[in-house]
Amino acid sequence: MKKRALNGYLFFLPFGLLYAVFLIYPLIQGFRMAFYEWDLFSAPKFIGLQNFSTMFNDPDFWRTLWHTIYFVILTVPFLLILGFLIAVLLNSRIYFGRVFRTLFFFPYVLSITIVCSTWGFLYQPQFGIISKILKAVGINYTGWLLNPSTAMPAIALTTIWWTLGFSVILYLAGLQEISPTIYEAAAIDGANSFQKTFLITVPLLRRTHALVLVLQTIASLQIFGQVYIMTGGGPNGATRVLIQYIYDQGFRYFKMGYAQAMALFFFIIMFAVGIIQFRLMLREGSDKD
Amino acid sequence: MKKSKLLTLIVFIFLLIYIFPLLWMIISSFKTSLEILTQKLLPSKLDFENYSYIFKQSGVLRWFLNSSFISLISTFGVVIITTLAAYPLGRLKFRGNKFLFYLTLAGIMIPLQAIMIPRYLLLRDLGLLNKYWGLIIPYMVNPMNILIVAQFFKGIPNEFEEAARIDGASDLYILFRVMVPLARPALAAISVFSFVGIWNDFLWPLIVMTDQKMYTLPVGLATFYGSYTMKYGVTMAGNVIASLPIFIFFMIFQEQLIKGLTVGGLKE
Repeated sequence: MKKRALNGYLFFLPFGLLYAVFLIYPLIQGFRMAFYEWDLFSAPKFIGLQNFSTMFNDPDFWRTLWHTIYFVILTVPFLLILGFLIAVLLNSRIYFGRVFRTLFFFPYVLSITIVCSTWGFLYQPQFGIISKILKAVGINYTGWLLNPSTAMPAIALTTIWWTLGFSVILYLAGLQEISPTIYEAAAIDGANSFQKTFLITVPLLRRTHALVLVLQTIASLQIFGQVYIMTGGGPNGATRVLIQYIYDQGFRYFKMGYAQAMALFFFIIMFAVGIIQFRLMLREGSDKD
Repeated sequence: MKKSKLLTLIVFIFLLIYIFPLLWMIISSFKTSLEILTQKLLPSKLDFENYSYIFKQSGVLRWFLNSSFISLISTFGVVIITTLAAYPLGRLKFRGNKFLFYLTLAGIMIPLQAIMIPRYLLLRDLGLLNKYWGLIIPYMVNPMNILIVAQFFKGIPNEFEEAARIDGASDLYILFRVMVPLARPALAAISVFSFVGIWNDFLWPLIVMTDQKMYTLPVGLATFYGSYTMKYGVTMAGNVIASLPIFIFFMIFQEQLIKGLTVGGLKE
């Protein structure tokens, strides 16, 4: 038994070591840094809670935080609803179901650069295809990424397109677990397919809805690359998001302590959402035992 | 049950709209600058000018090799480290086993963005900035993978292990000769899943690699596009080049990828 324990720790060691050095240590350092003023060049100076009071009084912090939440609101509901509908369609009696699934899923594995530069081209005001199509139906609007009021929705649309496949896959997995006998019983009772979908499938997939909601919220809260590539935070700061603000404060202006204070705030938000994810995962695990 | 032609048609039309951006990307990559400016629907001929331009003017080949090397080595490391750590968590009964499990579980709660600055400073102190290992080593630490594989190990019936134990096999032998072959689906899923995630990562290489020779493909292309904003034909050609390897990879390993996603999300 002693030997068993020794082996256990030995096997765990390579991971444990890297985990301690590259996750735990930076996390602890991060907590400490938030209480210092430090520009990387001179010695760090302890300033107590000052970074946090600066943060709460910084309109740019609140603005970028709001943009992040706004982005979550713009993306997550669509990722739930469209993901569900497409999964139901793909799961219904159609030809080429697997081929279609593959193609719906494919954009999800493309890198953010490919997705965002392609969409940047679609949105392009003078020769982008979206403006051209809209013009053909009588809508004369070209300012997608250039107008502060449409820039964030445009980035959200790109993101929905990019990650919808993930929702679809999760929903398809959920649909596989519903027993066909339930639908057969409903058919005998005279339910049509609309009723079957919304009165049986929707409530039965409760756990999948929760899961998609949490995972896509976590993903959307982390938004950075799309903005970095498509607008750089513009126009006029309208798409600047929290991670970008942290990134700029840290890596551009070298306000390490201040950036880290905001990073801690972000950590707390993610932690709260993560707890929910945790509970979903653990509950799922105990259901099986 | 009979399949519906009407439903198939509806899904097909929706799909066409959905993948239109990709079709447009491919079509536009063969257009001349003039054809893009004048918004011609189709190029007059298959023009590979944009492709030769991007190969000549950017480091796309080098970035591709960087990405390949980093993703392959990291994935290899992930599989080894994950297999080793998941075995005691999933199968060995010893004092502290539960503690290690919860410690690992806690790790999935730490988002990279929250620790990117201290971790950057750590890599700087270790002299790992602009080094392959500066990306590879941190990529190897992924607690989620360990939980997935540990759970899979847990589900393997005891008989397999007991038979080997009676023959006097060591833990190491049981892990690599009994457990690993049985856990192949789970290991395949986390490998493919890790590979794609690392290949596509943007934030971390952006921070670690500042020397343009060391860029990964996503960061290199983004920087390159940023400096040539008006050359959309070239951008689309670059996107086609960058999509191709991932497309081939996707076609081969799609099932494992889907398993990785759904297992990570739904089960355990």
